[in-house]
Amino acid sequence: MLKISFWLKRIAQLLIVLLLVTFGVSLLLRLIPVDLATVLLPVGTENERDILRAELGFDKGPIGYYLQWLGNFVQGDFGKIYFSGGTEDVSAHLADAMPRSLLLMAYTQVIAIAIAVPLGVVSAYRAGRRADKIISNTLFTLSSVPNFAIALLLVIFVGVKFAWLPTLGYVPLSDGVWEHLKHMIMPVISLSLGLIATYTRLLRADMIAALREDYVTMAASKGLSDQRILWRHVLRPSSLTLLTSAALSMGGLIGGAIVIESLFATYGVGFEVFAAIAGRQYVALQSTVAVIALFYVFFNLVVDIASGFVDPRTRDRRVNA
Amino acid sequence: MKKLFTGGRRKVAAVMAIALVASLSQVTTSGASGADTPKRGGNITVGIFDSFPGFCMADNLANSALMGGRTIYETWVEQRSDGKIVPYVLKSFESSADYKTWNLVVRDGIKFHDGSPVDGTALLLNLQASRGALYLNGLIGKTPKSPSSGTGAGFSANIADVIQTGAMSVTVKLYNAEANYPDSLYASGRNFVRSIAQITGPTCSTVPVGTGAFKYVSHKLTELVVAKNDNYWRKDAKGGALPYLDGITFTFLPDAQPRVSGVKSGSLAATMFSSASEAKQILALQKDKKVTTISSPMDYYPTIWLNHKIAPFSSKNARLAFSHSLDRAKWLKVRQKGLGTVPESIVGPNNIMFNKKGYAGYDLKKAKELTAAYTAETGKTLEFSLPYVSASADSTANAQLLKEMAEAAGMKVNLLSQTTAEAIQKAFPMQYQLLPLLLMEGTGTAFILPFIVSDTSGGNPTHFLRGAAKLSPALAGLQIFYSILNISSFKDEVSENLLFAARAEPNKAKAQKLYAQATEQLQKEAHVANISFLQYTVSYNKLGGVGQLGLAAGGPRRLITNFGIDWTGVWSTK
Repeated sequence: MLKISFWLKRIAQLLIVLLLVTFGVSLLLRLIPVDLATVLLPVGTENERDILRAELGFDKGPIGYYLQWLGNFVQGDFGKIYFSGGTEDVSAHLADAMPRSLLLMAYTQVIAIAIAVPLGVVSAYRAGRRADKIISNTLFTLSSVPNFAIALLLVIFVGVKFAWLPTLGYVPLSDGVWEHLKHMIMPVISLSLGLIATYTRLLRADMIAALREDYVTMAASKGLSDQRILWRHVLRPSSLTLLTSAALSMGGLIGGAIVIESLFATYGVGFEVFAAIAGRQYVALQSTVAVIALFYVFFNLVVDIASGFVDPRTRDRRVNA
Repeated sequence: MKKLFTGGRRKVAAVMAIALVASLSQVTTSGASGADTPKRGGNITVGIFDSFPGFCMADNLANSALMGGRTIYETWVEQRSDGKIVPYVLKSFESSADYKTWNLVVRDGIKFHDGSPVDGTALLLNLQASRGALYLNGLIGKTPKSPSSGTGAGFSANIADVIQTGAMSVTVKLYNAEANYPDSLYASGRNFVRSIAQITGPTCSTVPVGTGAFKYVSHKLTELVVAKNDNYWRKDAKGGALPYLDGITFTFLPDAQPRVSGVKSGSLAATMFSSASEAKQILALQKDKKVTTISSPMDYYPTIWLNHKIAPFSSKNARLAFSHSLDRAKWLKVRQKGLGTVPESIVGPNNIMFNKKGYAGYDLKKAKELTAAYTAETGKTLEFSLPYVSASADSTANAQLLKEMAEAAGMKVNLLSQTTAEAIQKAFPMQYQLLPLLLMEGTGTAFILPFIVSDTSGGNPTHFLRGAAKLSPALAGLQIFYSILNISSFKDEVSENLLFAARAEPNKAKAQKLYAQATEQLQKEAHVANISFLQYTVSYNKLGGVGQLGLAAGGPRRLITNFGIDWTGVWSTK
């Protein structure tokens, strides 16, 4: 009972965060000193703009406008993108862009975690020794190279010089798994290298701290193998920071991979945000930011739940707090 | 030997045609060459730098998106590589002795993609839609109607009347004589042959129906997908069906780098660039042996439109000061990496209007003197706001360099962030003090004259848009179409009379003389300024047949223009 009320409270907190974020964005857009209807319909007539103002709630105050937008948003109406030849639904754009971003994010996270965990474990186990130094220095170097530079190097060598992989575009899974993966490999490598470095360093630090705990000494004195201690008793409580960091970077990967999306023309949500800003498609921008915030909050909730499983003490601490 | 035609005499013609391409259009080619044997099938992807806002008359497709649009649409006439306009979807055109009446006859047997015939009615309605008559019908509750005329109403305002004279023919009556009216009918490749259903239907913007080698499949702002038109009317040199490719996807890639890597790696079969901001990439690709790069002549003339209706450019001193402050050599070096030439006229040397006389070229001393003269004349500092597209790094860099140049001459410049859509909206009619915008182009004047005269109808008192004002005072505003293209909002009777006289003159040498005098007048008054000329390039990888298919009436078409290449006779060698 106590747990249910805790999670309800947690979800309510996240909903408040969502409302604050979307209202903040809405308010900022209304503060821009331009007539939004003119910006959206630059070649329309004044009558068409009046209709648009009423349709979108631009003729209302900031709260009235926000409530109208929110009402539409929760019903799945994310607004429209306006151009001279007509309109396109923002929801259709997001339906196209979101799977690209989610898959890009998922592959990136899987690759980053799959590589960072063993590296972090080895690095912590061999802390201060040669293996640790090699791993740490290599990762330090990698983390200091921006992902777009890695992307460009991949494009030049893997894409252009050796022509092993296509340099552009996105192919959905339904068009063939291998074709899909071929188009994702370079963007995923570009995004994951920096994360591998970050995750490894975080895990290493936490594991080194955990290895100094009394229970580890106790386990060793009981004759448990190093492998068992590391993977079973140290990794699990040491992965909370890694998990939180992964959750935080998920939001960034959904909406913030704009450079990588542009370089490889995968055109996910990051590109939608960029296009909305460049084209001053304010309604599209507001809805896209709201969707990114929604995912961000969702992933944080998932991590909250997951961290309870990883280390039940955190869940109990929170519930009893 | 490329197979343009068959038969002995035709081979000679082909050799001459290829020589013409090389000598007259100044097209340059570099890199690998394609195979000569056509191969059927295959779908390719082409990278472009413009998006697809729609396909109706008002949805002006820009440059590289126009290349996509022109796979679906064709034009009534086409331009040969020597600049001559020849019939295309039309079978013929001929004029009266006074060049005020033109009889147009449609080619037999062509059908739109929806199966409807291309005939006199289709020609009539296309012309009426283009000049705004169907748009007016919609406003006054008549049919047939179309949702918009776009800027075609301004371009076609010299048309006094259009009459269908037969099942396949139409007569166009002009108010002022035009010795080369087909040039206006071509409208620099933008006057598409659209189906009646598209023009008059609710899907005018969203579903293009033309006569081209490819049919519309789908589109969104960032992509156009077209598929082979199995019933295409043209055949190749051996009588085989065209086109060779099964389909093309035109994909919007605003950044140059993915286009470069895409074509080099083969992810893109071809891609297009503009020297306005992609000179570095063009120069690199020209050296690449894996990729073939073809470049258009420098026949695109970006203009800095100076608004005569408001200060400071209502003053001749201000206009001249600004034009003299523009260090075109520096611009060429910094912004175009040396690709091109320093302008010596408001149009390029290939244009019939080219004239160096009266041109206010870079002269910092003069610019400073004229800036001071403006202050003495008005008691104010020469100050203006320069709009630029802040979302574009190139536009921002261009604006900063322009600001630096004007300020070196003592002017004060405020940068004004805009979107492209806002800039277009405020340019027609002009609400800025000045605006850099590429509009003028080509070797003729069809895509120049409407921008530099005050009334494209030539003052025709019986033009239907003037008549509309009598139907309802609310329709009087439609007369804005006569001057809307003159973004600088000036009226210069001297240049205007010379331009109309030149357009009516059938003798090319005489016309050229009149045009040159008009240019001199325009330059002396600094009605517009400019800083560079542009070219477009297409780079391709593993394609054959580029530029080999001639025009339906014979002779080679221009290999590459601002709307890229023609895809009808292109095949994939992959």
